[in-house]
Amino acid sequence: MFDGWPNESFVYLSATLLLFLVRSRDLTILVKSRKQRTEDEQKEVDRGMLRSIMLEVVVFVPASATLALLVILPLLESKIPDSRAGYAMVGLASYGFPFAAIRAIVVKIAKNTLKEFAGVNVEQPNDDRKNG
Amino acid sequence: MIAKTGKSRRLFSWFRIAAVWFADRCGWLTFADARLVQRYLSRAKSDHAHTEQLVGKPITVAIGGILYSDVTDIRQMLENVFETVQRMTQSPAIEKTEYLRKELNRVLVQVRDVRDENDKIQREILEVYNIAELKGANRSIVIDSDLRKQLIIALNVDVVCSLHSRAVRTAALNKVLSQLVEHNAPSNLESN
Repeated sequence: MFDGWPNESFVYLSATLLLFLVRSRDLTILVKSRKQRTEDEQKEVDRGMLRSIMLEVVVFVPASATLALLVILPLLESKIPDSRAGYAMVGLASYGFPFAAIRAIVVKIAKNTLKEFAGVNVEQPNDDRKNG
Repeated sequence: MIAKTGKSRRLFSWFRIAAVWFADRCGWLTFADARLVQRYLSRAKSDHAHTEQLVGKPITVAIGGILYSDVTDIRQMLENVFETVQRMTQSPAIEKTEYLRKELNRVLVQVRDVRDENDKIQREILEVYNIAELKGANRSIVIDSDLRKQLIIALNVDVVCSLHSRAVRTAALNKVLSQLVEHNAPSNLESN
């Protein structure tokens, strides 16, 4: 089925397939019609779920896979079999690092920032019940 | 306008702003309230736009409990709070007290009477909390911490306090002052 494909293409292919598996919940939500979605699901779609997946498919996952090809593969060349499976494994790993790791860090910083922003100066004593 | 306390400086560092902006653009914040993200980013933008013009430590205070019109001297209120803090401060901390006095003199307090300018926003928020009396000039209103949080974000201010509730305004302003001490005193004491 994959005869004639360069081995490097399996890095991209496996990384993209893993992306589909990891984001299967989001993809399911996107496939649903507006009426079928719950209120929370619709909110997530409105907040850019499609954009998020498209960016991952088109930009982040290929970039992560390319970095893996450039950096990880040469380092582990002797340990990884020079076969489709070996390249596919690098692709699987490339989804987790660097892309997913960087995303997790950025989201964590953003989440903590928003939490702090929402909570800034709001801690009030219990007698704070009149007139604001 | 942002209070230039240490907390605000951390909260609005370029690194954090970039993280929120990027995550939002990439659609990674689908779990977060869109309005909260929007307010954070717009406030960060306004902070940077005004940085060059800021003198001392501006604090934006929405007063009047969003209902009342009698705007008294907010600086006097701050000074009263300061006197209380000073009385409570013992001699070992005298340097900090002196610092606080200097800081207080540098505080530029922005007072906003927000009864009308953000009426629509207020109504939306208050309706969520089933509070209907918006216009009653002398009516009381219950503001719990959740509502206060909403108001602070919605009105884009640092403190929401009422002139009619001494406990609340003292608590709110004490918090501002304690932030000034906590976040600025250690690093600035020597230079001051």
